[in-house]
Amino acid sequence: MNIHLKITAIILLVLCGLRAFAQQQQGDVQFEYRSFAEMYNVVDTAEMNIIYAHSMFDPVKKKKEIVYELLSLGKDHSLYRMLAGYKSDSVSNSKAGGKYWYFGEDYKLYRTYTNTYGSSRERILKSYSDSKLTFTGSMLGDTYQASEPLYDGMQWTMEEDAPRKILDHECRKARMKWRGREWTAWYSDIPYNDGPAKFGGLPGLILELTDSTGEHKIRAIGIKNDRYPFGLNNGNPFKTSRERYNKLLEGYISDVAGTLYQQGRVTGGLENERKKKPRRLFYCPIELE
Amino acid sequence: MIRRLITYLLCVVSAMSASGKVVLTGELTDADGNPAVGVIIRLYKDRTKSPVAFTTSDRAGKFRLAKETLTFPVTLTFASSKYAAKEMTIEKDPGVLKVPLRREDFVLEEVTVQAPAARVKGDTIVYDVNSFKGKGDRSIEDVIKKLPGVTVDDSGKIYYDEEPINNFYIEGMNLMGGNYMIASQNISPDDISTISVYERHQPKKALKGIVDSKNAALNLKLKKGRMLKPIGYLRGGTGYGDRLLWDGNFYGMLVSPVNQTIITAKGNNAGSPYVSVGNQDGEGRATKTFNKMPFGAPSISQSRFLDNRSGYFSANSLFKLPDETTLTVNSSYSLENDSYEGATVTEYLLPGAPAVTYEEKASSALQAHRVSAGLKFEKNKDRLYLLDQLTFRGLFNDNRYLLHDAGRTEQTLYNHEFRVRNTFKTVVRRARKIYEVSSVTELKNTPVNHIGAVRFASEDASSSETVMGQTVKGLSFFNSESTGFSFQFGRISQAGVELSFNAAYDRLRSLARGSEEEPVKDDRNDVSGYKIRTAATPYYRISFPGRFSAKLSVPVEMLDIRYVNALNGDVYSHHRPYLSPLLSVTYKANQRLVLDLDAGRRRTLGDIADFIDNPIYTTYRSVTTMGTGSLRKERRDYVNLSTIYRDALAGLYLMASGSFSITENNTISVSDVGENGSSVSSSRLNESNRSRSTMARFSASKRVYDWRTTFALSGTGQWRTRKRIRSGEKVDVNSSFYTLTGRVESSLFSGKLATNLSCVYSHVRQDFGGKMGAVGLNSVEFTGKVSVFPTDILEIFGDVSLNHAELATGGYKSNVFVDAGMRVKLRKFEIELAGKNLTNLRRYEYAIYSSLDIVNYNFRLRPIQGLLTVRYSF
Repeated sequence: MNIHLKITAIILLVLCGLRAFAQQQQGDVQFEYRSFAEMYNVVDTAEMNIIYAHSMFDPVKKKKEIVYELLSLGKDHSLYRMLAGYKSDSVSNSKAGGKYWYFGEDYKLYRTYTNTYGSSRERILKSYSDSKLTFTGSMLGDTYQASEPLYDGMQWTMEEDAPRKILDHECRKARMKWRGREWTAWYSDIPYNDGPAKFGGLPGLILELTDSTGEHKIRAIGIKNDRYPFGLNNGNPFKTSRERYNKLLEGYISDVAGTLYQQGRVTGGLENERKKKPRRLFYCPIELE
Repeated sequence: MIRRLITYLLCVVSAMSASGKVVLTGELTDADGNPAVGVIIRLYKDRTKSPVAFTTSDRAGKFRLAKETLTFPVTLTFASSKYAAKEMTIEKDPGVLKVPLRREDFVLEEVTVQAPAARVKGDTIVYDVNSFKGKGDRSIEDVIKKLPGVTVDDSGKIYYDEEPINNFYIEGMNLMGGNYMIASQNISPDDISTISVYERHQPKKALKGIVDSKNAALNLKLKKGRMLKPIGYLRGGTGYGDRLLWDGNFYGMLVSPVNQTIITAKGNNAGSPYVSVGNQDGEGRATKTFNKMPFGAPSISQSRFLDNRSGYFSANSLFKLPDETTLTVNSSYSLENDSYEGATVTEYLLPGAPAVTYEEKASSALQAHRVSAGLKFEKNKDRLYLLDQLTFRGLFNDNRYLLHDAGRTEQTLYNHEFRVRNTFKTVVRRARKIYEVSSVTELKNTPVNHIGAVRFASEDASSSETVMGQTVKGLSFFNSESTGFSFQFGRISQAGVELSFNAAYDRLRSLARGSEEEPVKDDRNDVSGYKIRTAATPYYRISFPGRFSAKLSVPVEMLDIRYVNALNGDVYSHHRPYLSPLLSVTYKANQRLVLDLDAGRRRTLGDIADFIDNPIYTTYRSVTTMGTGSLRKERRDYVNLSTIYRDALAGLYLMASGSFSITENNTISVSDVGENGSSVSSSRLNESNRSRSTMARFSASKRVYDWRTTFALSGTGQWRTRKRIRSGEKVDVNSSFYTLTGRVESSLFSGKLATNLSCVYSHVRQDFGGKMGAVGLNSVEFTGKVSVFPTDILEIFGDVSLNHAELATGGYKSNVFVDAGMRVKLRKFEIELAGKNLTNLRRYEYAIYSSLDIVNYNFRLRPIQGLLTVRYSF
């Protein structure tokens, strides 16, 4: 055999061996490599990003949690989600040309972000030109989607309190009653009539929002000028209404084991366990109605 | 008719509009005439107030704004992310407005995320360093001191909830072990993003959720970009006090995901000893027999009175291996060549007789070398914990003391001590079963330990006589094996048993000079033997994780002692079992409020010291007889109760604790004073002795984040009764001690002024059941630290310390220390000019109670000094 052929054969064998070794390292899990564009229905490009700290208090568990959320502002859309989601998107975008890596160091980094900033797959996409809001949330592995008119039922009353500075922007006060809570907003001179979560409809970006019970306090803590595409997950969500989703979520949060059992996801001994005392998760919804 | 009616209606509408309603319609376009979509239009009556109405332009660029009860003129503003902002004042109804807008992207200035000062996640509190950092903070220790519930003592040891922390992590890795001060006192706060406090931290993952710990741990998280590159500083300087001063320091640290390395090398003669030349330096019994500062030391920082030449080197590295395993190597060497001078006036109180007063002046020259090295292998997995740690420590003291009383005496003290210790621990968790094995093997040897004194007839050193000379050598071997097994019953209860076996072999020999040739029995000791303790501790623990836990244990221990006195052949042996029940309860009412209760009986049984029944010189004029020839037994019944309320988010920390104990002892301390106080002796006498001790403490601190200020108040009260024998007469000693401390630490005017003020009042009182006069001392100590930052690169700082203390000789004495200086920071360089003891206070006077004696100290202080140093950070 020609010496070149021998060398080529050896290289091929080594490469095959390495590949086999790599597969062995990954075990039986099948990893799916999908690009960002494949996973998301990109609708806009973020030009500005507002980071909010969202403090929540669960009056039943008497427990407080702080999570970090991000509002990505594009030309005609905005996306509101957990900061961890943005961070993990950044990881995937910076690695291997936007491919998702679900193992190794990148997965650890993702876990670090979710541990640090809180994890939730809830996303709120607002379309300014369509005056439409699309919400996606997930529960027990299923994704749900609900739509409603933008800033539906938000009747703000402007207040004449002295202006406040938040992140060096002069902010004015406005109040409203909305879906069971009384909200106070401090909106800025930033030319977006948007805000955290589903809120908006004021003549400037909302930088702080509190409810009268003190259970929610959302405050802008940082501004970033990163540019990146954004959109909602390209999956096949269950279409539902916001009322139905909220009811479903409340049921799941109030009795995790019961929901699992009811949905047939688990059987057997857990039923007895759940009869003793339903396990309730941390719950502090923005909407009460 | 209809035309007239329409005209009339139009007139009415127009009149209404003019009198109280504004309706504005318009069309927004860009430079090319295309509609400007999504522009926010605000309508103002008064531009300084909130808009009275607003809207957004539609897809055709059109808008309509209407407001009742509003009259012209009004102001309109147009704002959009795509167009330049525009503002126009409208004096009267303009009809349909045509507003062209110039294309311009709105740019928002980035604002770095302001992390909240504190975040709470379960038992972890994460503090943002920037929220606590002041401009004058040089090391991360300065920031740690400000965290609620944290105190740091003079040696750098960190306490949380009054308990020492059990681990100091950097990026989750424990490189420095118990010697973490090297890191905490050198790492710059500029390199750290957060400090996490892990409350009740169980460092062994295999015991997490099963065995609670009372101790917390700290974790430093580095800022982005500080990993994978060396960080640290190099500092050098010179100055003058009463001699030329020098100071040099290098600190380097490299942190990566798989390795951490810290190297430090430093030296100075500017009054900053690196290792405390403590009184009871050393670990072996023979070494501990001799106080290294037997003629007293001021209760102030050693940097105030020690003339030092100090050097220190330390190299430490941690390697992260696969499978959650780490390998850590630590080594250090230190040299202290220190001296100081002082005079004491000791008042020996005597029952039924006037007190005897003895005066003495001493110049102490202390030289100490310390070497230590350690190798640690640790595997910390969810189901397996494995540790093997080998450490070596060598200590070499060579001290000289020049005494001036009636004449001139020189005392010398040499000792060498070595210690080698191996620690092995493992925990295996299999489903509900937990197996634990622990083994400690230690060898301590004191081959050289000699004290001697010569007295000079005059200042002429040629004529002298030996006052005393004694060699005390010690050897000990210690082995401890323990194992445990526990079983989890259901989700909340656990039962188990811990078995332990401790065996200690000790030998202690003392030999007075000259007695080898001419043995005198009373001048010698030679005792050796063993002490074996075998214990079985069954326990039951009930635990609702994060809520309530209680543990009841009933240790049954068998004690076997056998010591032989080689001089007379006497054999002391003791073999019998003991029972000591213990109860520990923790209740966590919520995330903020925790209550702890500990109660039980503890027994302390003596050792070889009890059979050292011939006197040993501890100084040229003091002798001690350690034992009585029979085993010392102590039984302590105690109850401790503490409660802590902490709301980290509100920066509030409250702690209150109390303890009470009764101790039964079978010996009483005896102290006798020779004529004129020129000799003192201490020993013990076999007689029942009951003592009571009560203690109460409270501590409260509130961090006002908006003011960047911490207010703290703490207090302690201690009451103790015990018996002593002085000059053959039994005396009831009742002592009480109170302290009240207030502290305010603040960073004001955007950090341009940093202050730290504290004031401590203390009162100590002793009475002797009427047999001797009661005595009491008051003292107040105020310390103030101020740093001013006129510009971002300049810091002017000053420290004032005022001690106003009552002297036993009567009256009060005030000692005022003032230090000040300035620092200029130029990028990576920092130049510092620091002056110490600016009032040039040369003597420090204070008084203490020492058992039945009152000692007035008067020490020489380092003079005023100035030091110029340059520091380069990398």
